[in-house]
Amino acid sequence: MKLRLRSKFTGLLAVAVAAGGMATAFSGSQTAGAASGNTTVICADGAYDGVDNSVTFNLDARQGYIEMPDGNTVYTWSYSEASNPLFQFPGPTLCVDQGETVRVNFRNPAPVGTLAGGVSADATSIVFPGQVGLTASGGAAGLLTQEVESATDVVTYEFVAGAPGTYMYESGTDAAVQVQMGMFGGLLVYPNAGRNQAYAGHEFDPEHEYLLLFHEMDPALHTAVELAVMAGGATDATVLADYDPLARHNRYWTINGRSFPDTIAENNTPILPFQPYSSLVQINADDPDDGYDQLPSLVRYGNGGLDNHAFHPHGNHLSLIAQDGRLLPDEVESYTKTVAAGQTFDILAEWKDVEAWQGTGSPVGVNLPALNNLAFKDGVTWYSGSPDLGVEQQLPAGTTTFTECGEYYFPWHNHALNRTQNFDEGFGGMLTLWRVDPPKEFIDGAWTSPAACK
Amino acid sequence: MNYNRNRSPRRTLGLLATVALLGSTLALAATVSPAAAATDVHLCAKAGTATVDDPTVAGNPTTSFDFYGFVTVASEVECMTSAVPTYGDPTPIRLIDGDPTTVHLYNQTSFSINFSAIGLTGAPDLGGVPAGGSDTYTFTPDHPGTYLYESNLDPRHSLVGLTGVMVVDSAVAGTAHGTAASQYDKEQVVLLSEVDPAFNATFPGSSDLSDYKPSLYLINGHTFTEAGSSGPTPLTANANEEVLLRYVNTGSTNSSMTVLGVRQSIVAFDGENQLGDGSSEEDPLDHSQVFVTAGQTADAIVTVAGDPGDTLSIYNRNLRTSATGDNGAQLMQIVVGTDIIPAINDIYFSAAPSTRTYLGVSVGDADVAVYNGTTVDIHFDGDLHGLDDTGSQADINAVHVDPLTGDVYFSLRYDYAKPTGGTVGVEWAGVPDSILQENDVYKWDGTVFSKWLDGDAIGLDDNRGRHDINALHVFPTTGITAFSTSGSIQTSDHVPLSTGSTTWIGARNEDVLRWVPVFGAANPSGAGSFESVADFSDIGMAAENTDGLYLSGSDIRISLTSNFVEGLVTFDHDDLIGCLGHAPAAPGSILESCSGALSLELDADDLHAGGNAGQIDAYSIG
Amino acid sequence: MNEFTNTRKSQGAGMTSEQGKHFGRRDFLRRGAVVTAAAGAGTVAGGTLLATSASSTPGVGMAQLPLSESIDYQTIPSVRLMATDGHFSLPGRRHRDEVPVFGLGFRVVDDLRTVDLGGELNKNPGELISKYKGLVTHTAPTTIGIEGIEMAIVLTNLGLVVRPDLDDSHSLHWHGFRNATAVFDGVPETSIAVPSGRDLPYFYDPKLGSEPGQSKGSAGTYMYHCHFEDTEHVQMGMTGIILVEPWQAHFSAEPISNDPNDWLWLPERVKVAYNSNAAGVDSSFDREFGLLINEIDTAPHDNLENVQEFVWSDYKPNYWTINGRSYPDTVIPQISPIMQVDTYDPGTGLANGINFSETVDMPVTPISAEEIAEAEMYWQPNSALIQCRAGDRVLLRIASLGFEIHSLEAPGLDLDVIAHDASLLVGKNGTSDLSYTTRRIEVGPGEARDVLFTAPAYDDGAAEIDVLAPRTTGYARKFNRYLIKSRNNDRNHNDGGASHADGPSYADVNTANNYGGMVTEIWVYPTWDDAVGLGQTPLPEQISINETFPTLVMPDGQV
Repeated sequence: MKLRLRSKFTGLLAVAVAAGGMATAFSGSQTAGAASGNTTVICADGAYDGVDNSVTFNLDARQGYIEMPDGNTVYTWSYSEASNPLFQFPGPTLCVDQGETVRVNFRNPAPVGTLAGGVSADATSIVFPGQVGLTASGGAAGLLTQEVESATDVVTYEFVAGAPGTYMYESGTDAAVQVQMGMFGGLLVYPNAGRNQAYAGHEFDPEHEYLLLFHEMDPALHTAVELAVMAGGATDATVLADYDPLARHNRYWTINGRSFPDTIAENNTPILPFQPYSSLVQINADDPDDGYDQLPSLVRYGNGGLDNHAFHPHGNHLSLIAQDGRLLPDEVESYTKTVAAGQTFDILAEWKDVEAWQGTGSPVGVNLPALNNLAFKDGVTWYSGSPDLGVEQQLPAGTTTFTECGEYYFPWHNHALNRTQNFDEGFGGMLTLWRVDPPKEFIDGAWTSPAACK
Repeated sequence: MNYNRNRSPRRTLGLLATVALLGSTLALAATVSPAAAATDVHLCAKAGTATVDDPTVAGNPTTSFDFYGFVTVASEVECMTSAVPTYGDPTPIRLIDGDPTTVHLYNQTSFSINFSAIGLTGAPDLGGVPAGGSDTYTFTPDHPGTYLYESNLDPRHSLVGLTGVMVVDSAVAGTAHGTAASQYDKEQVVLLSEVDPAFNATFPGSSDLSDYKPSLYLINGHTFTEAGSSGPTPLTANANEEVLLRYVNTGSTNSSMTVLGVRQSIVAFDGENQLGDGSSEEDPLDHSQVFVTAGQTADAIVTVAGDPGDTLSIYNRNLRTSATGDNGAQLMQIVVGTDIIPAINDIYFSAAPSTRTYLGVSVGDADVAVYNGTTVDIHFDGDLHGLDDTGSQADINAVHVDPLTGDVYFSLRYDYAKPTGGTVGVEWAGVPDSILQENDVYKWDGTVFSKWLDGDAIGLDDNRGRHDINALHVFPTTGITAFSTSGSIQTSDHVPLSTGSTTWIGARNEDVLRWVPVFGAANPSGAGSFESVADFSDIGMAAENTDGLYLSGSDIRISLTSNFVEGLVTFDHDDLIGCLGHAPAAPGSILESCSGALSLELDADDLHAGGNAGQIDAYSIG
Repeated sequence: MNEFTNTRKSQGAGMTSEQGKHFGRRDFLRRGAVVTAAAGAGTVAGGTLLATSASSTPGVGMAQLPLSESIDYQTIPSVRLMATDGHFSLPGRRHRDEVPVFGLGFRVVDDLRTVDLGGELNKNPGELISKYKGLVTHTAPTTIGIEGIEMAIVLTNLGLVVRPDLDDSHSLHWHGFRNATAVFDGVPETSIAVPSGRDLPYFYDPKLGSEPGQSKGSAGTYMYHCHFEDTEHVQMGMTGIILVEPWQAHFSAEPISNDPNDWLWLPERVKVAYNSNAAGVDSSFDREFGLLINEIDTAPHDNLENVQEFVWSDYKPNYWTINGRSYPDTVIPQISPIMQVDTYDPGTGLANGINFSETVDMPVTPISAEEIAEAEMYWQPNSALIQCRAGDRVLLRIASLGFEIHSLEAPGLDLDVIAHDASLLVGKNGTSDLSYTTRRIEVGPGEARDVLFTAPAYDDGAAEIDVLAPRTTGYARKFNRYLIKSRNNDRNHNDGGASHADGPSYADVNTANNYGGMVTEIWVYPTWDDAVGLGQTPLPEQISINETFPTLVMPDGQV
C-alpha cells in the first residue's frame, strides 16, 4: 500500500512547526479584527495556544428576542460565546490567522428550544462550509455532523484554517428551520502577511474593514417555534405542526442581524443589546491629487440567509477580489452583485473625489433651485445642505440633518426593493449606508480624517 | 486541500477501466472511441407515474404523482408499447464531441412537444411534433460538457418532467473538457427538479401557471427525507478520488449547491467555462457554492476526503423543503469508499550538473525522470536525441511535462548546438535555430522537437546568462508560459512589459513571471505581455533562486537552488515546496503569503539513497 | 430655443452661450433629433440622444435656469423628463377593455417649441402639466450620453392625475454612476427630491478613463429610476436604460476640453460599445438593443389607483416584462417617441385615430389586429423585437430593475458576454481578456450585462413572412425566428394565461405559443446581397438603439 505522501509530510510539518512554537504576535485572546477606528469587525476572544498554534472558541446555542425597526420583536436562536451571558444575533465573529488549528467547543447548556431555553429537544450543531479536513467529536452523529442532543453534550469541531478569506458557520441540523431561526455567524481567516491584508498583496486601510452578513426571517416560523417552546419543547413535530416551510413568507431582511435604520447604529449600541454588530460602512474619500494614497476599505459579504440576494452600493463600483475564500485570478468590477445563499465575497471599496469637491471645485455643473423648491423627505435627511464634500449648509426650517462634517451618504442595499422593507414600512430591511468623509488631511505629521468627522 | 488534482493519463485510464460504477449512476465508457460515424438517439416522450418518499408526512411513507418524461428506446414501436419513463432519471444521453448526432423524437403524449438543448445550433423548433407524431433533430455537439435537453414548446413542459441530461464526452478520455484540471475518476449527475403533483395531475387540461406551487424538491427524481427509504442513490467514491459532479437544474428556481467538507472546482457552466474572473477549464478555481440557475448545468470537480464510511452531503443551500422530519432537504450523499487511493502524483525531474543515481536509476542532466512514489523511471532520455549529457553542456534545467499527453517542454542551462544528421536530425528538423538557446523553450511530443517559446521574441536577451530560463510551467491550450530566470532581469536590460511597450520589467531570480500571448496557443511567443505570478517577497525570499515550478488552480509548488528556512522548518535546496490553496491561479496579484503554511511536497532525500547527495534542477508534476 | 448652461468649467473661459451655438454635427443629423429638438428633425426611434440636436442650433433646448447671479453658463446637452402617472397595457389588461394597469413613469418632453415656459424653471410648468400629466410612458426613453461630455437631465414633477391627493416627490437615480456625488444621486433621504410642480437639473460628468481618479472610462450600460419611496415608484414603472457611448464612437481624440469647438468629431458614428483596449476585447456591433427586464405585480398598481395600502413584503408578480411589455407585446415594433400620443385630444379621446376615452368602445371602422395591438402600446414605446441580418454582430444591453433573479437563454445562439455592470471584462490592469461565451445570461436585480452575438445564417426554407413589412409600402421580407427568453418557466405567463389569445396576430402559427411574460424574438433576415438575390427587400441599416422596421409612425406621415 503506497504511502499517502501528502499526509506524511503534513504530519511532519505540523510536528516540526509545533515543536518550536510559532513566533507569532498573538498571545492570549485575539485582538479586534483590525486596528480600532470605524471598522465594524468585532472578533470573539478565542484562546490562542502558541504550543500547537491553535485557537479555541467556546460557543453556546442561545435563544432570545431581537427588535425590529417597526417595533416588532422576533424570537430568535443563535450562538454566543460561553463567557458572554447575553444572547446575541448573529453569532460572534470568529477571527483566526492562516495556518492556525481552530477548535470550537459547542454546547446547548440551557437547551434553546425548551422551556429551560434549549434549541430543540432533540438536536443542534455547527457546520463550517468551505473548510476542509474538519473533524468533529462528542455528541451524537447527525446528518451533516456531530450534534448536541442534551444540556450536557459537548461537541468539538476542529480544522486547520489553511486559506485566508471570508467564511461562515451555521447550524447543520434541520437547517431549513435552525438557520432561518438565526443560527449562523462569520469566520474570518487573516493571511500571515498581516491583518491589514485580505489576501497577501491586497492591502486595505485597517481602520476600515467591514463584514456584512445577510439574512431574512419569516416571523410566522419564529412564532411557531416560540409557541412550541412554550408548549414544552421545540421538536420538529411540534414546530412544524402549525408551520408549513413551503409557505415561507419573509417579512424582515437584516444585515448583521439588524434592519435599517438600526443597521447604521454603532457597534454594541445600547438600544439593541442583543444585536451588537453595526453595518455602517465609513470611509475617507480618496483625493487623487493630494499625493496621499488612500488605501481602499475591505468589505466582506456573507449570505447567511436562505434566499439569493443582489446587493447594490450607490456612489461607486466595487472591485471583487475573492469568492468563497479564494482569490479570484483577476479582479471583477461591478455595481451590483448577486450573492447566492452560503456564498461570500471579498470586496475592495473606495470613492474617488474626482472633482476635488471638498470646497474648492463643485460637483454642481448647474444652478440648483432654491432649497424651498426642493423636498426633504419627512423633514429628516443625511444631506449636509451643500453639494460640496465637507461643507455643511443651512437647511430649510424644520429639516434636521445627521451629517457632522459635510460627509456624503450613499445607500448600500438589496436591489430586490421588496426586501428593503420592515414588514410594511419602506426604506428599511436589508439596507445600510456608505458614509464618505472628506479626504484625510496631513495634520501634524500624519494623514488623519478631518477632526469634525471623528 | 486540492493537492493531487492531476493524474498522469496512464494512471487515470487504468483506474477508470477497473472501477465499476455502482447503483444507478453511470455506465462510463472506459475509453472513448474516436469520433464514431454518427450517433442516433431514439427518444420517447410519454406519460408516467413516479413514487417518492413523502416529506410532508411523518415517517415519510411513499407518495406518487403523474408526470410526462423522456426515455431512450430502440424504436418507435417500443415507445408506443413497453417503454416507461423514469422521473428525474440521471442517466444521460452520451454523445461524442464533434460527432454528428440525430435525435429521433417519438411523441406518445397527448399534446405537441419539441426537442431543444442549450448548445444546439439552429433555429428553435416552434412548430413542434404533434401528439402521436415523430420527427428528427440533427446537430453536431461542438463542446464537451453537460447539457440539459427538454421540450420548450410550452413553458409548462419542463415543469411536468419533459427534461433530461445529455453528456458530450471529450475526445481526451477521463477528462470532462480535455484539460488536466478536468480529469475525473468517477462522475455523478445531480439532476435538480421540483414537482407540484396537483399541477401535473391537471396538465395539460386546465393547469394555469399562476396556480403552480411546487411541494416536492428532488435530486435525480428522489426526495431526501429523514425516515424515507428511497432517497437519491448515493455514490461511493474513495478518498483522493476526483468526482465530476454534473449539476443539471431542470427546475425553474435558481439553486445554490454546496458539498459540505470539500471544495468544488468549477470547470464549466452549460458546457462552456464562463465566470468572467479569469479562471478557465485549464485553470479552474475552487468554491464552496455552485450557483446553478434555472435551466443551467455546471461541471464541478470535488476531491473526495474523509475516512471510509464518512459521507459528503451535496445539498441545496437555499434549503427549500417541505419536510416534517429533521433533515428533509434537496440532498444526496457521496459515501467514502474503503479503497485507499494513493495521493501521490508522478513527479518529473532532471538531474544537474552531471549524471546521478536516484533509487538505483541513473539520470543524466539532459534526461527527464519520473518518480511515482516508489520507483524512478526515465521519461525522456536526452542521449537518444543528440543531447550529450556526458559533458555538462546539454543540461535540462527547466522542465514541464503535460500530464495528459506526456509532452516534454524543456529549457537548457547553456546554449547548445542543435543536433543534426540521421534520425536525430530529422527529429530536430522542426526547430528553426542552429543553436538551442538557454532562454528558449523546446517541446518534445514523442516524435519531433519544436520550439515552444522564443525568449528573444518576448524580450529576453540570450546574450545575458541571467535570462536563462530555469523553471517552467506551460499551459498548452492557452499558450501561456510561466517561468523563472536563473539570474535577475534588471530594468536596464530593457525587457518590455508588453510587445512594443517602453516600460521595462524587473524581476529577481526567485520571481515567477508569465508571458500571455494575445493569440494564445497559436503563437506562444507572439505579441503579448508579461504578468507577475509570484515574487515570494512576503515570505522573506530575496536571495533564493526558483529552479522548479508547478502551477495548478490555487496551488503553487516550487523548488529552490538553496536551502530555505521558514519558521522552524528547513526546506532543502532539492525539495519540492508547496504553497497550497493560496496562490492566485493567474496574474494580477502578488503571490498569496505562504509563511506558516508551506508544505513539504517531496523530500529529495527520498530520491537519493543515503542522503542529500543529488542535485535536482527542474520539477514538474504529472 | 433656450440654452441651459453649465457654470463650473467655463468660469474662466468667458464663453457666452452665444458662442456655444455652433456645434451641431452631421452624424447627429443622421441619428435624428434629440427628442426635445425643434420639429422637422428626423425621428429618433426610441433613442433620446442627449448630445447636440440635429438642427444647426446648438445644444438642446430646455427652460433657461433662473440666473440668480449673472453666472455665465456653458451650454451642455440635456434632456427634460417629466414624472407623472398613466396607464399601461398588458395581455389581459387592455386599454380597449378599459382595464389598463395604473403606473408611474418618466416621459420625455417632445416639442418644447410649441410650449412657452416663460423661460423660468420652477414656475408651475402650466402647459406641460395640462399636456402631459397622466400620459406617462413605461419604460422611460433610453437616454444616451457620451464619455467625457457633461450632460444634464432636468426632472419635472407634474404630479398625478389619478391620485390628486398624493403630492409624491420624485427623483432620478443614475444606477451605477462611478464616484457619484450625493446631491445628484437621487436618494431623497441622503440628498434632495423634486416636489410636485417643480424641476431639478441633475448634472452628470461621465468621465474619460484618462481623467484623474478613474481606472476605467464611463462607457457602458446603466439604468435610471426614481428613488423616492423606491420600492413603490420603481415597481410602478419609473425605470429606464441610460447608456454612455465611448468617446471613440464619436471623436478621433478624447474630448478633454469642455468647449465643443475643440471636439474632433468623426464624420460618421462608429458603432462600438467600449473603447479599444489592451486586452483586445472587441465591442463593435451592427445593431444595438436595450432590454430592461422587470416584473409587475398588478395588486399594488390597482391598490394605488384605488387609494388602498399595499404591504410590499407581499410582493408576488403576475407579469414579467421586457422594456415594459409582456410577450407577445414585446415583438410589437418600436414607437417613435415623438409620436407618443401628443395628438391625444382630451376632448374627443382620440389618439391617432384610436379612441381611448374611458367610455368609448372600439372605433366603428375596423382596423387590423396589428393596428389595435400597436395602439395599445402607445404608452410603452420601447420594443424588445430584435431584427437583424444574418452575420450581423448584435449588441444586447440587458439590465434588470425587477426584484427577482432571472435566468435568460437564447436557444441556438452563442452569447459573448463582454461587460458586467458597465465594466468591460478586462481585469484589474485592463490587459487580460476575461470576456466569455455562454448560452445563458443570469441577471439579478440591479445588474446589467453587455452581450454580443453573431446572427446565424439565414435559412430560406424555414423562413416566415414578415407581416410588418408590407405595411411599409410594398416591402417584402422573410425571416427565421429565434427566441430570447427567461428559463424560469413558472414565470413565463401572463397572469396565468399562457396563450396570447388577445395578443396581436403578428405572426402566423409559429409564434411560440403558450408563452407569455419575459420572452422576445430575434428575427434573422438574409444579408443584403442574399435578400436581393431572393427578391426580398433587404432589412435597412439600424441607426438608433432598438430601432425596428417599420418604426410606427404618426398617421399623418410625420416620420
